[in-house]
Amino acid sequence: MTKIDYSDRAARAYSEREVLLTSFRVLGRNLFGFVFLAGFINVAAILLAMLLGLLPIPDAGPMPAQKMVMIPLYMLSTSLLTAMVSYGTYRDLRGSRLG
Amino acid sequence: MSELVGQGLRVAVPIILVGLLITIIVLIGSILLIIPGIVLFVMLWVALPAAVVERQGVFAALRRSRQLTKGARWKIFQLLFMIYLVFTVTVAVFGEPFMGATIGASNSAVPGSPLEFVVISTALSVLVALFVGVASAVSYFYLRMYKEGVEIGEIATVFD
Repeated sequence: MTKIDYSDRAARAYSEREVLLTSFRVLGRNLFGFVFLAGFINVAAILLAMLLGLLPIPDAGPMPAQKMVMIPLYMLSTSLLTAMVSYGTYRDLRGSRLG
Repeated sequence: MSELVGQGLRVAVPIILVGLLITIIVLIGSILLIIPGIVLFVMLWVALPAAVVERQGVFAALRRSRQLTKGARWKIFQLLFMIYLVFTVTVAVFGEPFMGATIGASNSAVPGSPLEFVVISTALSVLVALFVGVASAVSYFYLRMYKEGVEIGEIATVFD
């Protein structure tokens, strides 16, 4: 049975230093795996953009239409990466590192 | 690694929608003199991990983030400021020589950026994206631990 406490006292226990140090440790331990994952997702996004004819972007004006279309694609790859990194982080904190 | 990709794809749709909503909300907030944008970003700091772990839907993830960050937002702002500072210093130390090379290239008739600059800036932006993702997930874990007494095992089991 978990005790739920949304008081300010509970929020005060949260420490930005602790989060920063834990994040550095998690990233350090899984750097190779995470970078590989980021590379994999980015390459897939670039290939998709090339297939859709969005890349290379011609330098015509300050914000060509293709650059606007690239935003959802960037959002897609970043969101996927965040989901995978979250999962990897919880696995690491539980004790099993990424292989 | 394939397990990680599978888990990511399983929650892809809600995650993309949450990411899109956060971008729109923060963008609207930023138009109103930047500060509201920062406040909203801090408020929605753990919305993505909440969507990944709890899978309650897009708006529920945003509400959950607002609930979890309540009382800790000033500390989250300090955390984000520290991340910004760390990576600004890193870019200044490692990126500056290559920035100079780029300016030099643009002054001359050589088109595009030097390869070193592209490689360094890409590597740094990937590191920033990874670190922000990890820090957001870790924040979610600590906030739930302090506020709800949830252990890491309970959070991680949702993926089993």
